[in-house]
Amino acid sequence: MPETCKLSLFLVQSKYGMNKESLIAIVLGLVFGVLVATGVVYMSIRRQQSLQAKNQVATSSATLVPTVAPPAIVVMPSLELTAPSSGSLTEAKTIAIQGTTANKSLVIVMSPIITKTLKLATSTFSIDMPLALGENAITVYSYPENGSTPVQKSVYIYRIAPSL
Amino acid sequence: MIRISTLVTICAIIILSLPLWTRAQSPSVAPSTELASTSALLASPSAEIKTLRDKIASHVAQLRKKDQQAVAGQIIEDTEKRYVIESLFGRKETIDLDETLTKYYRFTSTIQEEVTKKEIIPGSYIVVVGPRTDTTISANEIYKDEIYQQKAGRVVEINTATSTLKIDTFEKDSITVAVDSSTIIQQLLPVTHAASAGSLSKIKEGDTVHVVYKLKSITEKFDKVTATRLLHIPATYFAK
Repeated sequence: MPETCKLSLFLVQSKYGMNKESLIAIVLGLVFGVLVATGVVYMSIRRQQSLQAKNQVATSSATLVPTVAPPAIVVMPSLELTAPSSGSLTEAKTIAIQGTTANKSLVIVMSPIITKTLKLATSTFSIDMPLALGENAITVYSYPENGSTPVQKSVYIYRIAPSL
Repeated sequence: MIRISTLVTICAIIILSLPLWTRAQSPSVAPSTELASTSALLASPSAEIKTLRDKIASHVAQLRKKDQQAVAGQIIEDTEKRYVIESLFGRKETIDLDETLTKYYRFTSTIQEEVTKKEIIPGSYIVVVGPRTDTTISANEIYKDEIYQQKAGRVVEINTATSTLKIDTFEKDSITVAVDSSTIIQQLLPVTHAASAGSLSKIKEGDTVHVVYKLKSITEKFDKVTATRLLHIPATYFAK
């Protein structure tokens, strides 16, 4: 043991009146505690880093999905159905199909029970469609003013009879 | 000392039990009157209670409707207490059935009529209405329904002998559409842009058609369908 250590050990012993074994036990205990604390801190840092990495993957995949999914949307003229939302449940006998598309488009709305057509003057439309009981698969086609290929979107509306 | 404590205990018991004695020995008129008025109230509830009851029932019904949603699909697994359905888009849903709560219906023209569970056979296409929990839907109502789909495209071949049209759809596939006496055919008019009555004989190759047809099953592999509705847009409509 180096002389400085021996000296400091002697000083501590003389000051606090402890024997050598007690001091060694205290020192070993402190060393062990520091090691455990370091381990805990290291593990928590590693966990945070892995969580951050996962979130980054999730965010990047979430942003990728819409850009990758339908390349046709980029090419075709736009058609947005603003109401109703697909999967709606209603007791009403009719529903207004509302949306926006290119100016002066020809809009065709088809359901199992009716076909409606509308030549737009502007870019918005609202067409009342009668509903059959059960599932109503309604498809909206929009032909641009100078085109013969439409864009299309579908909504599914569920109509049930009013409960008594 | 023991005598005194015994005496005190006995006195305490007597004092505490006095109200019970008086109640038991002298029955008052009040309870029977209360009972009579309560039973009268139950027999013919006042207008206020009736209104309150109606309000509560209406509120409960509204809450029930608020949580409800609808899903549709074909039954691919059928057990006593559970269906698994598959939608047109391949999504699978588990439907919980309740022996007393779940009601079954089928549609006949313009009305819905209640049926038994036995009539909802495996492979049926159903609409399920009920609240969604984490992974399942608790079915309040189940409706037996039919599957309709739509397609649109250009006519590439016409067979008048078999009354069929071969169509290249805008979704880049090809189907043969049969037209029968029940098919509603309409034609788009160029000036008014309205749909009026049409006929198969007016359809030419290169024209556009929109068709609605019925499917027997979501897994049905088909290259020929029978149109229930058909909208004909002559190629001349787009030639301006």
